[in-house]
Amino acid sequence: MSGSNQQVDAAVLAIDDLRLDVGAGETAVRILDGVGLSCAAGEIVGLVGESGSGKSMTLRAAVGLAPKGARLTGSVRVAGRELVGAGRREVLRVRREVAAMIFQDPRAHVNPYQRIGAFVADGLRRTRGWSRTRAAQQVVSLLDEVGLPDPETLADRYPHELSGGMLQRVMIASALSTEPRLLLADEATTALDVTTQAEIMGLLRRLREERGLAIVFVTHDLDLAAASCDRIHVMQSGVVVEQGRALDVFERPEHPYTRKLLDAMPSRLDAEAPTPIGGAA
Amino acid sequence: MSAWLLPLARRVGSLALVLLATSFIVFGAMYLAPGSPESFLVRGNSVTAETLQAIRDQYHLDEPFLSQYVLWLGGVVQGDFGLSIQFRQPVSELIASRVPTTALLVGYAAVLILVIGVLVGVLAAVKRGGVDGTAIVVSTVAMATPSFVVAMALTSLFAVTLGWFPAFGAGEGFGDRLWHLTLPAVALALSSAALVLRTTRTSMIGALGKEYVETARVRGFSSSRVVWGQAFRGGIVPVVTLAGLVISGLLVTTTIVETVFGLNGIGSLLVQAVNVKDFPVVQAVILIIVAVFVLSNLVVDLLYPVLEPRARAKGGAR
Repeated sequence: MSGSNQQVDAAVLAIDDLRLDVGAGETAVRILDGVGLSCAAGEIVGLVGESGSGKSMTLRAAVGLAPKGARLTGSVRVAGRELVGAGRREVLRVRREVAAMIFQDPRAHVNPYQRIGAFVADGLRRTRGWSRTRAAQQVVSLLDEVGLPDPETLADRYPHELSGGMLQRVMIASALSTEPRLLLADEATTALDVTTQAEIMGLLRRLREERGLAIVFVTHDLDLAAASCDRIHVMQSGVVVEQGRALDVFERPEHPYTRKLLDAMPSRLDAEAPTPIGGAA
Repeated sequence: MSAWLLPLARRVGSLALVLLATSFIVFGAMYLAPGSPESFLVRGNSVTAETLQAIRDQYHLDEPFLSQYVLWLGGVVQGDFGLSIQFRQPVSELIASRVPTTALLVGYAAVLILVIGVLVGVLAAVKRGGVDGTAIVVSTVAMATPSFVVAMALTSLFAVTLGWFPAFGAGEGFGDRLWHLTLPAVALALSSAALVLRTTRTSMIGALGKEYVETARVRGFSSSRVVWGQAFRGGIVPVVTLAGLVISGLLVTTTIVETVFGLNGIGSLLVQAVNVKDFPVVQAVILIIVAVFVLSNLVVDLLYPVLEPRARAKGGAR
């Protein structure tokens, strides 16, 4: 046990026995039931499960985003700061200094009324008090770092003029602007086409190495998680049912749910034509 | 440059067309209305046929309808709206002397509408709960109450009972004028402020639920930054569109409010003119009201692409 304790101490994100309930009395629903997860610097941890399994909810708990009226128990420590039961000040501090998040649909999550440069610069201007000019210079180097061409011109564009893949890079640049130690990716490649998806995954892996980022990667795609993550947690109905090294989970799944997830992969289905679903013509 | 000028020229052209059509309708309506200006002028006194004929000649009343219209329009485009039948003075002078009061009144009311409507609307959207519930009830009552009722209630409470504000007149000098115009401006603004409040509230509730606002929260922005720096920018767009319509619509309501509070503005002038069939004045005032409407619509139209980047013309933006 001492070994695992040490690991938890070194972890940028350490979630332990996290329970989340919404509603009261008869209608109370337990969304998360004793979730445990850790992610150390330089590590990519995959959180895999179907819709409603609680993976996004777990991720959001790491930046203090719980649904209204939710009751949280257990522990969520981000860089040593406890978020369960923490005040607003502490939560803001974690969001500003330690953790950053990127989302499934960058077109919705990037402010459509701001130019790209202003959007990325906002993090530095609003949470670090940087001047407009100083932030603008940093933005150009950030846009360059995430592999966007011609950053100076791009900074003057509006989000609707960019593709989804480019916007996800913008999102990543804005997440990196405050030099976080933890990057939370919520289905960050799901809405992208396969080529762009591979590029974004490559970018995340590079950032992990160059910046020593701890990355938690939420996805429903076990194939993708196995290929890109160091460790995988598989969630079902608010419980982590299986965890381990990515390849072990992928090749030797122990829990029946993991096996079902694997069997549901299109790449693993038999190559025969899908059976048509009967019904009204 | 031409990509921006061409739509502007097209809009100004259609503006002129609307005004032309309006002028015809206004002129025609007065022509068809019962009663005639000369019967007001003679006020039931028996006059000689020569005098009557002189009056009919002065206002071209014996010309056919279309040539009356053309004669009138020819004057209007040169800024000559004719002679007021009632006041025996050029309509343009008459209107110019009445404009400052109405402009101040409408400006005052517009400030009240925007400040109260937007501030309380945002507050209701952010706080919800009791603040929101109160704002909804009060704004519903305000929207449903006619302005003349508001005007009379304000007068009896703040002017007669409490004596804080004058009940009558426009005052002298800027400060005194503002003091005199406070009750009229509130009466004029109330229902529009409620409408702006409701629109702001709905729009801001939508904006606060947007994903990019969640992004701002996750980035650790303070609550006021999230509301005013992120959600407000998108939430205000429908309010601007509405405000243009509502504020130019105030000109119509000034007819009631100025009459109740005894203010010598454009609105009360219109009412007086209608009562005595002072055709030239009625035509001029209505034409001005329509022109303000059309112009403010043009301003809102031009403002929209500024507020909404996604609405900018593809060619112009790049």
